[in-house]
Amino acid sequence: METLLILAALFALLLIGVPVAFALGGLGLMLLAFGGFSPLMAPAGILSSMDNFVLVSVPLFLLMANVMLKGGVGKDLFAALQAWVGHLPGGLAVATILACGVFAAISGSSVATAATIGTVAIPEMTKRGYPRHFTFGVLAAGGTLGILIPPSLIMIIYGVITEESVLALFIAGVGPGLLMIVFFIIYSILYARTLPSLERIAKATWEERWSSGVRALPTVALAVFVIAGIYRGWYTPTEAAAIGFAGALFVTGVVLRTLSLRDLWDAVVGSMKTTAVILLIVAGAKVFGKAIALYRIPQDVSAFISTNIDSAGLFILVVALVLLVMGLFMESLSLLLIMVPVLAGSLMPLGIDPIWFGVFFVIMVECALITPPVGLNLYVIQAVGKGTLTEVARGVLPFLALMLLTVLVITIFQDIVLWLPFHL
Amino acid sequence: ETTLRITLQLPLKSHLGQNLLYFKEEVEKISEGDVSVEIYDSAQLYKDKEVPDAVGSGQIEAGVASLTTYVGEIPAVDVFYMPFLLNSEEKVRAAVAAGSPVRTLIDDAIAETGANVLWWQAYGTVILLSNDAPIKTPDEMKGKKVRVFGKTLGQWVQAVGGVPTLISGSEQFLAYQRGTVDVGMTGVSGVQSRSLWDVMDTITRVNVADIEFIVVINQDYWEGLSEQEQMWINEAATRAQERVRDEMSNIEAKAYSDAEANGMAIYDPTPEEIEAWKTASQPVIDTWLKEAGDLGQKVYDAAKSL
Amino acid sequence: MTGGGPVAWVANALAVVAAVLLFLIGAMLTYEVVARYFFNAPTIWAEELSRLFLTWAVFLASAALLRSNDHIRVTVLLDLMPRPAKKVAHVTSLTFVAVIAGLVAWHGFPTVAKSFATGRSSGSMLDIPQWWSQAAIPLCFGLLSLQALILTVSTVCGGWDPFDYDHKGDERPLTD
Ligand code: NA
Ligand code: NA
Repeated sequence: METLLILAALFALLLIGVPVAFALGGLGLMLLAFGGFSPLMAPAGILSSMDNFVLVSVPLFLLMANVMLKGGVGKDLFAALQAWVGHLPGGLAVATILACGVFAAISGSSVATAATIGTVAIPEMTKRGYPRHFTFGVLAAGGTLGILIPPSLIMIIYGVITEESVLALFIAGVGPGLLMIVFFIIYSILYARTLPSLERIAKATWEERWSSGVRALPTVALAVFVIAGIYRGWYTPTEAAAIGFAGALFVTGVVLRTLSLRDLWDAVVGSMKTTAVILLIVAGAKVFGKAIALYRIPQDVSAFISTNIDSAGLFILVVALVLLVMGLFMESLSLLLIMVPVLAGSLMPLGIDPIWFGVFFVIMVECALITPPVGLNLYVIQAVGKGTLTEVARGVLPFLALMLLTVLVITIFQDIVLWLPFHL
Repeated sequence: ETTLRITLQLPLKSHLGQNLLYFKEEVEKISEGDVSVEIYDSAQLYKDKEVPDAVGSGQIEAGVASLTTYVGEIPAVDVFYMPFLLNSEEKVRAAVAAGSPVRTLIDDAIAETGANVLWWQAYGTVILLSNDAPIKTPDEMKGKKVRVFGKTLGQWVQAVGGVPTLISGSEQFLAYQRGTVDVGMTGVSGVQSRSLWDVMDTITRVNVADIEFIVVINQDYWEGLSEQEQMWINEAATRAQERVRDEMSNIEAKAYSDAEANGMAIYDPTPEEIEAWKTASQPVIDTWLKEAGDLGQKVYDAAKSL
Repeated sequence: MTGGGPVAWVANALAVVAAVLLFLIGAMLTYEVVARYFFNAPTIWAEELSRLFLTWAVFLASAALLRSNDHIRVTVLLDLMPRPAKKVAHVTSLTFVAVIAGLVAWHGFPTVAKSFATGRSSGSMLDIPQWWSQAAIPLCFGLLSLQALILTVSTVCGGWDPFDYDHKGDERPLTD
């Protein structure tokens, strides 16, 4: 009962437009006051939530991606992939999905990936006769690869909440990320065959392929360097983000020479905004989390689950359904920050690997990002492609189904997630 | 009816968590349910280093903090980190026994921060981890990057010729596995709980310092309790302290045998090697004595005479 | 991000400071890696200062982001409301932010004062005073509260248009 009242209050605050960070933190503070707990817990929690070295990687991965973005890397990537696969049936859609996948490897954010690739791919795809809703769907869904393929801001925050290794989470995302790319590509090729009016692109010459490939190469090299360096012990995962930022400056400033000082400043300011917006929500959620822990809600939920759900499969099914529904209305970060602490206690008794659960959770967050009415990727693609929410929402439906199929496959074959982190 | 909430950074299954659980059962038994205890484990409410302020300011009634979290306010607490000063179980037991001069001086200083110490929890001694060969003397530390977790131990690594490198507990495994640092430093129970034997093959039982945790209770809250309640809590605290000390030797023995079973070699430095360590470490003690003032000198003398 | 009186000016200037702090974090940690890997000389300050800078950067930027409507919010219901109802909702939520931020600042102050008086330090390798980070709470949330209050008043009086929040496209900070 208490739990339902708290949820209702939270939704009421969110729906009248209180910024998420303040809705969570404010409700937390009110709960502390009503429960007779010390209000000093609020400032202490807010401060302590930022005092975490792993979180330092959030602004740095953002800086890396934003510098690459300002350096025009999205355009280069798309051009190269178009030259290599654009002439095939459905080739432009395939090039778009692959470009999302590669950009995801330097960007920790879904929305940044969707916006960057969307800006170059949407005009090209619609010009060649792809239906608008399909084009929007490819990009909104392809963009979500940004948080599944490492680096990933959502995985960093999951790692901070659960104290799991961020590197293990990163590596665990690779298998499912590739699987999802394959699903998206197969669907796109099949779909393109139903479109007789689709304009075929002339095959690029080898010279074009090589020259565009060479321009895209530094980006791929940077992505590999960042992850490989952690593996070689050159730097910790947090430091890797700083190296990624420095590397991005090197690639765009020295190698490609596409970054002006003005661009750099814009990238820094953009990263600052996103960092503050995201981490303030993390801080608000910390206060909320402390308050509900003192009301013993996570403890009660764990007890409820352990008496009513005795199999891992049933637990995952129920959690997936709950997240799918909550994801319709909730912004992805709060979904993570509210649900993970409540569910984390049930993983061990049920024998669910926390790294696997992290990847599962990230894919459910990806679903939340593309389901209306609240889905940041929908908004971004709508704005970039100048379409309507309905068009985008219609376009993402098949991709949503493919994401859920991915969830099903990784639930049955858990090694797709866990083999890499345990064998590298 | 009184509820006592205790915050703990470690999970309930850790030996400190189990010790709290024991305390909870004892209090609730002795008081026949008049005093109930709620444990908030796994840093749900506070991280270790936030506990002194949280308990001192009355945000929560009680908490478990590692002793060294008080060093920013009371430099003297790092007497337990003074190299080779309290390097045997007998000395540590004598130092933390209720009424011992070392413990009384420190408990009184902590009382100034608004918290009373209920009992001391043993956590074990500091060991070094390495690969291929033990760290027998300061010579083997020369120029090596050593994981540290705090100021005093950092200064010690520097004094004996190593390069102190801050690595958090959760990044430890990775830093050893990937060679970000060459030498590890932790309590032996950390080897077990984080499976560090997968990445390091040698333990040097250098016993350079002793890690202590304390359970503190807010003073105003304490004074607001009835005398009867205070007695019940003290009684249970005394039992919990005895139990965790007795258990600690078993826990350490088990951790060492688990480490050996998982392929680790354990090395005990010879008395001559320990002398070499002591000589090289002296500057740390000198610096600390200057910073820790009168109180530091008093606890140091008290500890030395044990 | 121009105009809007002295509070807005301060908020914007602090947002610039926040951006610079983040850039410095990148520089410090890159230096740390190079110093450790090539010169076997890790610093004792890079890790701790980067946490300190992050703390300040996030809270310093918050007030300016309130004014530029960059904080993430759910606008589904607002989008359906007629303009007067929207205005009521907006005034309510801004007032809520002002009160909450004010309370956080108020309750955050005693801790800073105590740390300052006792000279409590972090006890880490760098051993910086604790109030260096704690001071961010009363200062930044105080400013945030003030900014929210001013925006509440100017929404009521019609000086500030709170309705340009939806679907800012490229302007929107690229979150998750
Ligand atoms: Na990514
Ligand atoms: Na959604």
